[in-house]
Amino acid sequence: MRENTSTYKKHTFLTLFFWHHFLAMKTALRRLFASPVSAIIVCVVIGLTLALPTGLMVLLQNTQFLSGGLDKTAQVSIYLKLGVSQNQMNELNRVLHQDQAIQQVEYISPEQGMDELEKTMQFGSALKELKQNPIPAVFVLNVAPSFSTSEEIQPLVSRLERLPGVDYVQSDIQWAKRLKAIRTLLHDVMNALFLLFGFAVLVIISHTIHLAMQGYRDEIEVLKLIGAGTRFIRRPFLYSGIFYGLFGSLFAWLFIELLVIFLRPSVARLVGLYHASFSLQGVSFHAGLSLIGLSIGLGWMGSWLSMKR
Amino acid sequence: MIHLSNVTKRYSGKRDALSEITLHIDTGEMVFLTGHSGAGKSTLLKLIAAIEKPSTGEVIVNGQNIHRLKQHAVPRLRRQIGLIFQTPYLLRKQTVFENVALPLVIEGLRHKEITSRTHAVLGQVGLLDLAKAFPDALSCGEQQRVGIARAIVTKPFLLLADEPTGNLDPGLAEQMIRLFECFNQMGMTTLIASHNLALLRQFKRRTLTLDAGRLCGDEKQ
Repeated sequence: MRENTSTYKKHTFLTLFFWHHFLAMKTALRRLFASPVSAIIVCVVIGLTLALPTGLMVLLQNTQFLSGGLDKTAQVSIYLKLGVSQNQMNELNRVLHQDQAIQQVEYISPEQGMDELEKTMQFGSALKELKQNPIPAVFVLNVAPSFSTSEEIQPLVSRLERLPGVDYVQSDIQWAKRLKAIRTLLHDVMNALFLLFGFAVLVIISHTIHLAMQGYRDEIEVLKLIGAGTRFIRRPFLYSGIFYGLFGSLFAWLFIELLVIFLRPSVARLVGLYHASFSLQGVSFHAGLSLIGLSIGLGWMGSWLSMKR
Repeated sequence: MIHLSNVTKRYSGKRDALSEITLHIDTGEMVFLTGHSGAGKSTLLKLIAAIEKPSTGEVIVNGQNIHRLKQHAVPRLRRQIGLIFQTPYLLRKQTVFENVALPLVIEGLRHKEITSRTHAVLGQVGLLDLAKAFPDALSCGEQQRVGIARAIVTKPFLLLADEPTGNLDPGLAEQMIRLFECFNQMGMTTLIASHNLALLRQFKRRTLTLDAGRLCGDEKQ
């Protein structure tokens, strides 16, 4: 009786699944490295396409670092009238500490204010020429986190304005609101760009895989003739799409990091003019992984679409 | 093993490539298929290998009706049939070993089994020394033998060869048919299509003759 392949030692269903996937990956990589220049060009194009929305995402992250906790708790500054007595000051301090809407109170005396002005503005001896300290005493209040909207803070501001000895009350809630609105806008623009450029990546990969399939038409015919199934033939092309996505996203990450390194000194110089310390951050590890995941997903989908064509 | 009943194959807008063919080939037979170019030899082999479907009639291979065969069942049937063509259709970027081992990889054999089986078959066709060579470095005859090795590596129940000696000199062509005889003796049913009647006559085998798509001869020698 003639033996056939059924008498040979075969993989189990599970090991065969992984074995065929491993072979498909190997074939996909071999095909990419067979024409390295065109593969690199495609990956760079994908990288540049993804770099724009990723760059915006990095900008957004940096504005978050820059604004610190501004949007978490609002700050209110109370500028006192010049010549307020110590008794009035103590009474004000007691009232502010008793207010439920206020989490923290910091007092800055006119002398402290003058010292700070001297340090930051570098006026040198010019300020010493003044006969009287023009800086008012200031209470800097951190509003309780439960009071986060301007509607909630406005009654507190009105209440503080009516206190004796108070000259002017300034709340940063408007500024924080504007910053939040700008960040929301940037966030929406980033999402729209990810959608738009994600579609572009999908088209690039789909077209690239379609062309590759044309190039390997003879090989596909041979595989069909010797009994390869559709999945066996398609799998390397799906992995090609995944690798294009992977390498494209790594290029995007690299481009953004290079841009950040390039811009960091300029940003540090600009921030230094405001006497603040801030270092421009690149793509965070978490965001980088998300970018890779998204790009791989687009690569897989692009190659799947090209096969459906 | 192979049974064709009133088979007609018509390509759109053309005359019938095959017309009302009825024939039967038993398990273990070695049969020659001959006729002029365009007689329908290749079409007949394509129908048996489920590359084409008949326009009318029935083609039954190993108990399976090709016309009713589901799309996903075709690769499984192909893996049980060894196909050899005039042009061996080798993968140029893969070595001889990789080309021959490919059907076993698709079949899902273990690595060790693939290696031993592929080496054994390469030994049978006399190409063991060229296992690491690429097809472009081989002569026509060697390439054809790689194609044959790939076709028989899974030990198929049926071997279909379409003009396997077309590109070979008479000496090599005769050697090739002797190789097919060996495989046939190992139990593979063999159907060889060739227009070289002089070559086929050297071997006393059943010969089917096609003319303009019609079966006009069935000589049992």
